[in-house]
Amino acid sequence: MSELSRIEQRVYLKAKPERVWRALTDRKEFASWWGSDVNEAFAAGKTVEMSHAGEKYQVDIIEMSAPRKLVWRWHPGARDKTIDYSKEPKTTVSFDLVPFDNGTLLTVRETGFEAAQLTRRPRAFTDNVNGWLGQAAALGKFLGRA
Amino acid sequence: MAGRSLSASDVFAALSDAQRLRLLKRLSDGERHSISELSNGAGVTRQAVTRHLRVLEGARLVRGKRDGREHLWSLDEAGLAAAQSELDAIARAWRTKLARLKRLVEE
Repeated sequence: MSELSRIEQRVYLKAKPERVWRALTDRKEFASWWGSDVNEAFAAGKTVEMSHAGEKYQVDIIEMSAPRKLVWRWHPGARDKTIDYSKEPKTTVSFDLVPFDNGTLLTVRETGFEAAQLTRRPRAFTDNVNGWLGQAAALGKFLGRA
Repeated sequence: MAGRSLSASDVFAALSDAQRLRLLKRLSDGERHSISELSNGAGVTRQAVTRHLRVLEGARLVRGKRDGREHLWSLDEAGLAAAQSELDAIARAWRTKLARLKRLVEE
């Protein structure tokens, strides 16, 4: 059942693993596609601070095995100022790079959602009812999520 | 459970059990079911089924409603939709970022 508590996405990149690795771990390159600034260079065992539009968040770099694997831990989802994140469990994000057909197969996994609180804020639930058929389809999609 | 906010961790914890998944799949027919219907042929006691349903109720995936002497259970459509949209948002954010990464390294 562990596959129900993860997000996994795989993408083929027409670039060598070394090139992808640089985009993942070089501060400036990372910032350009990730969309947040990083306060210092990534290094295993280090906690770096990322900032986006004035919002800061911490990322613990767990593993850096060039050019194969990058792992970090963080608090997932949108930031919520009413939450004390220091008490919240984190999810683990891993980037796996595999050479493939002159390029790189990149797999990103985010795991540990069963422990992490994504949101506690009251949420306005939509009261639109798509009918039971729609709900059953949504459930099927939910349960089938890899 | 009105007024209680949903957390995805509740949802995932609720889903991390084969019996609870079985109950959800059973309820995905959209009908309301009694505990005895849900216990039938499952090889578990009514008490165990009730306990699992309470966990699912806590994650806002199912709803129990008293009907006479019986409790009838059905999917909680609003809670389910909220859990789905929370996960969709995270998956979407990843897709957007990976598309930007792809553009960068393939330049």
